[in-house]
Amino acid sequence: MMWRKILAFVRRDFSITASYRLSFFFQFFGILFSVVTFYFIAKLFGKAAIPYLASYGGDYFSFVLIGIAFSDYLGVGLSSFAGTIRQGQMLGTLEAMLVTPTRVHSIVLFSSIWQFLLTSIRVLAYILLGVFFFGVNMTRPNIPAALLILILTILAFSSLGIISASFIMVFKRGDPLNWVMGSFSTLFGGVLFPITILPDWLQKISYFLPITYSLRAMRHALLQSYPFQALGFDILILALFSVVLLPLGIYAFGVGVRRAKKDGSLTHY
Amino acid sequence: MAYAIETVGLVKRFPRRRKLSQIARHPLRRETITALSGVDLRVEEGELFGILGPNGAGKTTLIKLLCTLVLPDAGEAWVGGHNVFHDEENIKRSIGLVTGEERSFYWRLSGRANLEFFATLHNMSSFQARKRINRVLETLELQDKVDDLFYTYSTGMKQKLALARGLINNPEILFIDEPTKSLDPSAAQNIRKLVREKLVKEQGKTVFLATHNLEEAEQICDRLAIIDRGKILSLGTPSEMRTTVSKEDRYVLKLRALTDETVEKIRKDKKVAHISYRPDPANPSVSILEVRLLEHESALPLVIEALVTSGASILDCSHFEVPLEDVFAEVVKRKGDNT
Repeated sequence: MMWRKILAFVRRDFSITASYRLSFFFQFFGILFSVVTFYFIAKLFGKAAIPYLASYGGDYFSFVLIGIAFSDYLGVGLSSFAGTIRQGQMLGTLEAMLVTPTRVHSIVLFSSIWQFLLTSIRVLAYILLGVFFFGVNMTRPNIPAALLILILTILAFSSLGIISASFIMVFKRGDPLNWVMGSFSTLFGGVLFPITILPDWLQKISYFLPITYSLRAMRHALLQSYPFQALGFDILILALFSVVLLPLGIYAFGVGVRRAKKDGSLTHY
Repeated sequence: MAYAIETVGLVKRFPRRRKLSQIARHPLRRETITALSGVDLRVEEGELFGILGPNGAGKTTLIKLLCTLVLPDAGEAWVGGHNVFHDEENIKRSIGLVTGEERSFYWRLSGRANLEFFATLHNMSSFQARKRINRVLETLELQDKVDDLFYTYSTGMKQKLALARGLINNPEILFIDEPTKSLDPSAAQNIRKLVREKLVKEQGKTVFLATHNLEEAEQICDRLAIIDRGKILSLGTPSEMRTTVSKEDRYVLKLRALTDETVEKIRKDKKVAHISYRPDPANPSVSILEVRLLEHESALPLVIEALVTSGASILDCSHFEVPLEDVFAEVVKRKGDNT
């Protein structure tokens, strides 16, 4: 039954997304423009970036392509759960779903799956564009390791997103976690530049962000074909983030739902 | 006896939004608004029970609470024998909720796709869902346009689809909140007939209907509760409610050869609360007699007998019940006087 429900949510979201055809296709143009922009920025840097990017192969374009592509998962992980709730509250569909025997946790989780699928298509588009049209070198990527890192990345980011959804459940707007994690991850997580550029004291902030480990491991797996052993530390830290944050997120969400039921604001926005 | 719905001393208070200056002055103070105040109700299986009240009376809060969307602060409630605190899932299996809120559908999906989606959330297999959807569409005569996109539907059609969704899991108990809120009189009548005839009479469902439409409540409900400011003010069948407000039954008779003596003779009867007459403006030889009787079942034959024996001929006799509007206004006024 769980799979049928997942399929029902994906089918629903696909039908709605596909009904806005123009918007659906324009996001792929956005990817193309973003890739081209960074390609020329990378050309501008030329060989000057090599000393900072030695462990990633020395090419800034490959580095940043992985950064912007996979940081999409952070954005979706952080915002999709809260977004699902808020959209359901605003559309008025949440109440209709909440009177069914399907649990609220499942409703929120399943409603986010389409966003993750769409993000995966976008990430694939980034990588294919990079490899086939802009000369990104991924000759022997460690695909199994990349998949494991991806799963752990989604788990860690989603855990933060579920905590963020708990805020939305209670306060409706103004979720501080989403803002803090989103801004800090972009600045200190190594999305656009390696964290080694940062002063030592700022680098310490990076160590508390799951995206730091996720992007580093992903770049090493895809660009440098690192084996599992060499990726072990980053994988372990990502797993630790998930082990700590996921139960915390589920607990916080339960508290949020209970509080909203008590306040009578479960379906308010 | 097990009731379809039972509430005992149900209380719900919502936090009141405070201004920033109030929060600054008293940061820890918690102000509340009482939405439900000690609600006691018992709804029998197969009954069409109406909860009647003005906007903000607490009708929707009560429905949301019984549908487990809101938690009560005090008291107990059972729906289909299941407790709202401890048995949320079983309650959700046995109920359907219909609101007048058309936003609660996916407008860019067809009516059928909407129903299929919600059927899946009710743990139905594809086969069960298809079968049940066809059955519900047939009952509600909705087959024609169900494959069109939802946003192309008329308001009446959207409301029927809301009813279809509420019935998708074949619930024992159906909660309906303001079902005819924005419908034209013909569409509203159609919905009322469906609820009364098909769902309650034919299928034996218990329906808990919230409305502020007195005509609707009177037309279709077996019993009613009048609620205002979270309190149940009156409870009973429409005729029982009339009795609580006014013990008098009003009759208007058209007569020929009515005399003052006959009127005076009738007036002396203790069961006659009021009597008056006037000539019919359309025909001066005819008199219009108005009597209000206290125990009309025993008093009316006496009045008729007095009229007939006096030689008056009765051309017409009409019985007028106290309008439910008057009952509602009186109940709310009495409550206001008491507080």
